[in-house]
Amino acid sequence: MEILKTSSLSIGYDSKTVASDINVTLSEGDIIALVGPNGAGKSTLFKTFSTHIKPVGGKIDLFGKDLMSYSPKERAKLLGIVLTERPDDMFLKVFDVVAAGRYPYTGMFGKLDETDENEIKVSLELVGVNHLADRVFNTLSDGEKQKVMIAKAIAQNTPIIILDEPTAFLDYPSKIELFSLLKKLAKEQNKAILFSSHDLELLLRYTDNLWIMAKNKPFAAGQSSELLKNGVIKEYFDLKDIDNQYLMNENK
Amino acid sequence: MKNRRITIGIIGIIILGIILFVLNLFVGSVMVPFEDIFKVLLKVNDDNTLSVIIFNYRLPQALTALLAGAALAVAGLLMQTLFRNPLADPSMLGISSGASLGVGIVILLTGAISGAAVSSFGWWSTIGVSLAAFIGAVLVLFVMLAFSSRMKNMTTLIIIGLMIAYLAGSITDILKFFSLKEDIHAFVIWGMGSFSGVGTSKMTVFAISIIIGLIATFFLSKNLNILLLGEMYAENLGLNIRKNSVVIILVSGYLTAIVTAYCGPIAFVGLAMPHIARFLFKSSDHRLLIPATMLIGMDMALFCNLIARMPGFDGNLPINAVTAFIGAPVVISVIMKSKK
Amino acid sequence: MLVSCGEKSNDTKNKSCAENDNLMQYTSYIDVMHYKSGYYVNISNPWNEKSLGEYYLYPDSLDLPDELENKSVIRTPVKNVVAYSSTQWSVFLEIGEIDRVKGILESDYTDNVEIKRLLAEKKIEDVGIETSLKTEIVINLHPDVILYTPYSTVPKTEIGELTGAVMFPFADYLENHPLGRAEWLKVIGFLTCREDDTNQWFNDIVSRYESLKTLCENADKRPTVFSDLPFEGQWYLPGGASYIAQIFHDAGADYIWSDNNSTASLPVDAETVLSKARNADFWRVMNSTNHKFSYEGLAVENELYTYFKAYKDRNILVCDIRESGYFEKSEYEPDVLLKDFVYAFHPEMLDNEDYTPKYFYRLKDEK
Repeated sequence: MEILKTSSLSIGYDSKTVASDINVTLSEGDIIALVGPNGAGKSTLFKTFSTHIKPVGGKIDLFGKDLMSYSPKERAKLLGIVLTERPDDMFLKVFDVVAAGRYPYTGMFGKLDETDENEIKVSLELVGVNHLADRVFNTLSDGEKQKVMIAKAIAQNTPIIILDEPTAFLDYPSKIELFSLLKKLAKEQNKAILFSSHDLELLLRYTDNLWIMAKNKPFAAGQSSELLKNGVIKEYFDLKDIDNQYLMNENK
Repeated sequence: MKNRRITIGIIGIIILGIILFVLNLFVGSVMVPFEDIFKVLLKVNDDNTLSVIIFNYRLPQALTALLAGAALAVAGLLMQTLFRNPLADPSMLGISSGASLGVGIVILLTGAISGAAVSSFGWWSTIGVSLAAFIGAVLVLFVMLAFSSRMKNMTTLIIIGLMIAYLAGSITDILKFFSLKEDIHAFVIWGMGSFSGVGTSKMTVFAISIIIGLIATFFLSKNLNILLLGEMYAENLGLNIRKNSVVIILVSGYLTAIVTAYCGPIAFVGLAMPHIARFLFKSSDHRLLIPATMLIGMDMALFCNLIARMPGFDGNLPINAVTAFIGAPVVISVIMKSKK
Repeated sequence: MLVSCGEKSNDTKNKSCAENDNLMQYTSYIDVMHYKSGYYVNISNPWNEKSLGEYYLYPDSLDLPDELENKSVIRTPVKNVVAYSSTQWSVFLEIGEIDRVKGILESDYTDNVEIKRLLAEKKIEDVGIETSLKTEIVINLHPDVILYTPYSTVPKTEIGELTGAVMFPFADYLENHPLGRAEWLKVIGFLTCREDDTNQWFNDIVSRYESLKTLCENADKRPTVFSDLPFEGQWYLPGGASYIAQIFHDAGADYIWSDNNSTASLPVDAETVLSKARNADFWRVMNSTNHKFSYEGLAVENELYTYFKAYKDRNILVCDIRESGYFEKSEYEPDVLLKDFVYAFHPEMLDNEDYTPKYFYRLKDEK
């Protein structure tokens, strides 16, 4: 089922357009990697999706309705984000961070009911950090922090989760673990997952669909193997000197 | 286990508060003989000077300390969470400086205009001082609100607050420069802070104003908790960042303005008390921190008031000297801890 | 011999050489003695042993004796004076020598019609305020003497070096005896060669003051009195050895804090004042606002006031500082000030004379 659809979307700040004519869709169970060199506008696109900034032109539909027409509360139940930013409070517990995901569902004083408690427990178990629940968030490793933030997004119970550079700062095994976790979420929970990454090599190995952005080049989307074959990846990443065969072989 | 620790902690703070409150009533520069305590308590009598001192002087002063302490401490907590800065407090937003400027204008300028020092302080000038502090604080508050609704970046806002504080301070200094000695003296005294300015006659207005502000803070706890994740996350979770900042600044500014108007600019309570609450309960949950910070603020203000009025000094020590003496080490230890 | 007189200590007059010679009777901080055809003046201070200054006043019409070449000399009568305080120029005005005053400070603060006129006609310049003197204007006035108010914290200003004028510390406000403070008017007499008139003026003040004081010494009953309003819960009470405490005493009343021997104001918290002064008969209050006080207004300001006996008995004595010109005029009318209090404390002593107080009046109940 189609969840999010952009039509002739232009993104940027005020009058400065960073990328334009973006026409993509995001459906249930999709797991899509957004790639592109630095400065291509990946975070601008994420900020536009999370309504932190307004689109410069075109529009974004969420379940067939204009994204901007949702109230912040409604939107919070449809689209969850995981950023590279981390809470740095001295006493904030892992449980509290995940519980924050329940914010759109709780009452005036944020009291958690049984459903909320249960959602939190499930989320913690799903990413495998239930043993850390009582730890202070600040004392965790980078990989653990990333998982907790994802648990927050799961507790938020949204059909879409957007992750900004989720593999940054992670060691190799943790990165692989993360990819399988995202895949699990897409398959088992039918969520649409969109994330950005620099790890081209890993992306080609573990994801099926890519969105590619580069400065002064049109927005491209498609299956990773196809994009590789028709030279789009090489072109967008400025890898002309590298043998196509090399990347292909690695991918096999 | 965890809840027991919290319960014990809260009860402990309350008991300490009650002890401090009673000590505030019975300790002061005029000795109350132990055997007279019950006599005075049982028979409130205007003809008895001790009874007047306890019920008409010390009681309103203790109540003022209690309310002012709670208000300043919780205002500090709100600022620290909003700005995600452990050293934020209402004075950082220029609110206290605005209040000082207002009072400076009344004390220093009326002296210059009327040609006579206000330092002997007729009844109208006492009310004028409170009003001026409030107007000054609220004015700065609105300037800050105008900036904060236009700007999302909290660091920028803190810098603007500091600059406004400098501006207000320099205008105050210029006023001082052209003022009578007596007026400057009166202004300096106001700046030392005091819990005795409210008294019985203004207590009702003061108490109601403060309590309204204190109650309002409880309704902010959920949003404050979400802010701990960072603004981007909070926004994604459905929080209207600008509206929320405006409300938090309004509530903490309101509390600060009321206290400053009646008691003078009292430093360090807003800065230090939230840290004590956090470290004591090892928590960042505002549903606990808000009441805990208020209670600790009450205890601290009562303690400072007690120290300031210790028998032996014939006059009162300036409250600000006492709060700084206790608050500054707390702030230093917080910085040391958070840098580790 | 004169040098040894200049080295005398602050509090005790040097009996061996100055007693008969000293032309000042009641002052603590200034001695004036004859020196040849002029005067020798020594001004001391309460803060340290060092003298504030030694000056020789010598008639301009005579040749200056050789030994005074390197001393601080003021040639009399003075020609161009800059006066820091209204207590200085008011004497010039009173004895008709105001044309010698060229510059005054803080002119905004006076209501004196004559001074206002002279300022408007530019006969007298306003030279700013103490903390920011209009230096260039002062230089342009070519003063030969600058009468300044000495403070413990403010160092002697450089204006003297710039103008070549003699800086003369007018320490009148430091005197704690009402007659001592008034006696400073004689200094203006010495400076203008009008000492006969000022001596007469002062002697009249003394005789009126002393006779009132003598009357009150015989009073059967001495009422008790305390002073001032608190600010931020704190009273700043006049010390037991202060100017006003002396007036209370001479007016036949007992000041509640008379056992304190300080001349400065004492910070005392409200409960101490309440416990000590609650039953005092009179309460002396200064009003520097433009508003009249009332019993109702005072009760609104601070409910504690209503517990004082003096409040209940409607025995609050108020001085409207601005309206009465208290700071400008009362210094040289200590006898009038005294009479105001005698009228309040012991009306019977004045033979029920129909007297209208000039400075301190009993606040009336409006009802």
